[in-house]
Amino acid sequence: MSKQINEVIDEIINVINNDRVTEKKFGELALKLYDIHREYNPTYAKYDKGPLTDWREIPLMPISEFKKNDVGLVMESRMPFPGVEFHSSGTTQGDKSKHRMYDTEAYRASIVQGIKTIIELDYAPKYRVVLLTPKLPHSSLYYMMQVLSDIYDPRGVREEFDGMTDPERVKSLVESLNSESESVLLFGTSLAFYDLMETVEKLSLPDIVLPHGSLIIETGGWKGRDIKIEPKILTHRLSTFFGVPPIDCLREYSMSELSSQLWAWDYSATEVKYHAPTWLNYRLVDPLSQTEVPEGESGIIAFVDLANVWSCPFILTEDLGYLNSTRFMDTLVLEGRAPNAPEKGCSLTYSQAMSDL
Amino acid sequence: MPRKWIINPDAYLVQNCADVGRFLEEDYRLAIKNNSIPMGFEENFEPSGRRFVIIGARSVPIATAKSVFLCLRLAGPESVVVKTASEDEGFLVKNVFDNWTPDGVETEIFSMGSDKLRDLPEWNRRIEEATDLVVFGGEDTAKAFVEFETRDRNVYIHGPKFSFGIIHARDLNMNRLADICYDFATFYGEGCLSPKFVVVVGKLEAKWLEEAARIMLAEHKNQIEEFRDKLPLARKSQLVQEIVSANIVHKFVRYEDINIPEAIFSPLYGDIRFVSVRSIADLKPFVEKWRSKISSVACLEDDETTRELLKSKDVTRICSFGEMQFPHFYEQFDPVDDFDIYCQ
Repeated sequence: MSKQINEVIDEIINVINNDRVTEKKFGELALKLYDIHREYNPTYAKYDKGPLTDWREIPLMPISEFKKNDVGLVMESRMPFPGVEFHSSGTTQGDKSKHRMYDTEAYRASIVQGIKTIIELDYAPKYRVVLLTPKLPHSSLYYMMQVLSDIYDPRGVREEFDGMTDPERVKSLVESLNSESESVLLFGTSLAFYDLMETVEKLSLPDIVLPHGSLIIETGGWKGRDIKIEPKILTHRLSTFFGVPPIDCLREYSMSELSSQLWAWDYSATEVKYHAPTWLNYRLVDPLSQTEVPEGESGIIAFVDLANVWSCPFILTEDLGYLNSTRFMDTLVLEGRAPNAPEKGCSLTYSQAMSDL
Repeated sequence: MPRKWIINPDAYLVQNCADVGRFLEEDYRLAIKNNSIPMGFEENFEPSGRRFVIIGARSVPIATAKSVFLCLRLAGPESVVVKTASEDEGFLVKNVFDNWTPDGVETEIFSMGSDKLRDLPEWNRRIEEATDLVVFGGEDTAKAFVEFETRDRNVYIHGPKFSFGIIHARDLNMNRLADICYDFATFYGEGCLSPKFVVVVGKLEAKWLEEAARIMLAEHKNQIEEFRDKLPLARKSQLVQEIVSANIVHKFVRYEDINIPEAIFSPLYGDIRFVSVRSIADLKPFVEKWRSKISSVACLEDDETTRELLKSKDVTRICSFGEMQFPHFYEQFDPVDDFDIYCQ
C-alpha cells in the first residue's frame, strides 16, 4: 500500500510543482486517490461508492467529519502517527477540526505553487513577512506563513499576534511598519485589519505607509463580529490606509481542512472572485444529492483538492457560493457560511486571542 | 349543524402554501383537517378596545393562524395585526382574516423581515399603539419583543419549546411503534409539538429499532425525502453535516444519548430518535432541568408512574402517542396559553 501511495503522491507533487494539471490528468489522479482513500481511509470508506470511472461521481465527505472523527489514511508502516496535525480555530460552539498529514510535502508544494499564481516568484523582491494573527499551536495559517517566509523572508515570520485593539501594541506595530525599508507582505484576517485600522484612527496615530512593492493579503471573515463592509470598500480602505495600490491588495480563501488556497485580486469588483489552482477543483452542489446546481445558481461549495493526499481530497463544505463565468475564466464567489452553520475560520483565532486578553 | 374549520381552504390554498412553504400539500391538508372548531365553542364579541400585534414564527403550519382565530373570536379586538414569518403562514392567516373577522375589526398582515420592518413607520405605529403583543419564536425574537412591555402594553411570549415521548420497553408493540413513528414523521420534527426523542425505559432491544426503520421506510419515506429535497440549500447542508455526528442505526432511525445537546436542539428532518434510560427515576433530573421548555410529553394512558412524574413537574401537556402533533382545540401546550391571553 505504501508504494502505491508514494507513487501517487510523487506524481501529484510533480504536477503541482510544474503546474501542469490538465483536466484529464486531474481526473486520473482524483480517481487514483479515490481508490486509495476508499480502501485505506476508514472515515472516508463510509462514503465509498465502489469503483468509478468518472471523477465527478466521486462521493464527497461532509467537512464536519474532521471535527467528529480521525480523517485520514491509516498506514501501519508509518505508525505510530509521526506527521503533523493542523487544527481549525474552532467554532463559536467550541469544536475543532483536526487535519492530519504524514508529511507536508504536497501541502508545501501547493502553498508555494499556489502563491506563484499571484506573485511572480522569479521577479519578486524579498519581502518582510508580517502576520497579524496569533501564533497558535497547530495553526495551518501560521504554517503557510512560515512556508512563505522561507521563500520571501529568510528572517522568518514576524508575528503581531495579539492586541490589534491594544494601544501599546498598535503603536509599536505602526512604528515598526513605518521604519521598514523593504517591501512588506502583510497578512491578516479581515477582522485583524479592521481592528488595526480602527485603533490607529481612534488614537490618531501617524499614517502607515508601507514601502513600495508591499502586498496586503487578507483572509477569513468576521467570525462572530457583526461587521459588514463591502469587499470593494474594504480593499479601498486598506489601500488608502497602508499606501498600497489596490492591485496589490489580495485575498486568500482556504480552510484548515484543505491543503490548497484560492486567491482573489480583482480590486475593482463588488464581489470577490476567487481563482483556484489547477490541482484544486471546486463545484457548487446540492448537498443532499451531491449533484451540481444549475450554472449561476448558489450551491454548497465542494472541493476536490489533490494536495489533500493524507486526509481526504473530496470535501463537502458548509460554505455557500456561486460560479462567475466569463469567456476567459471561471471564478468562485463566496456567499459566506450557510445560515445555521457554526462560525469558523481564521478570524476566530484572532477573536479568541482578543477575548483571552 | 355542519362542522366548522379554522381554515376554510379553496381549491388552491394547499397548493399555494406548498409552493412557497416548507411543507408538502399533504402536510397542509393534514393540519387543516385536524383543526376543526368544536361544537359549542362560545365566542365573545364584546368590544375590549384591545389592539393586538401577533408575531408569527416558522413553527407548524397552523399555530399562528389558530392564535389569530382565537384573537378574532374571543378577545373583542379593535385591531389585529400579524407579522408572518413565512409566505405559507401569510396565506393561512389571510384565510382566517377573510373568513373570521367580525365587522369593524381592523386587520393587517406584514410579511417582510424584521430588519425591513424596523424602518417602516406604519409598523412602528402599530407596535406603538398595540395594547397586546403576542410573540411566537425563538430566544432572539422573544428578547427583542419583551422590551416593548409597558404599563399599557402586555407582551406574551410563546418562547421555544420542545416535546418528547416516554415508553417502557416492556410496553412496546407494533401499533404503539407505528404511533411513535407517526408523531416523528408528521411535520418532520418542525415546531414545538414535534417530538425530539422518545425515551425507552428499560432495555431497548435491537429488534424495535429495526421495526421502527421498517415502519419509517414503508409509511413515511417518500414524504420525508420529498420534504428534505425541498429544503433550502443551507438547511440541506445543515442536515448533511449533522448526519455525520448523529448515531444513525438504520435509515431514518437514530439511537442517541439524552444528555447530548443535539437531543433537544437539532432538527431531525423526519428521523426518529430513540434514547434509553434504565429507570424512570433517571429522567427526573432531565425533566427538572428543562421543565420550562417542555411543551408536550407523550406516554401511555395507563403508565401511572410516568404520568405522576410529569404531573409533579407541572409539564404543560401530557398526551398519547399518535396525538402529539394535534392537541384538541382547548388543550394547552404552552405555559402561556392563548385562551388565557384572549379571554381576559
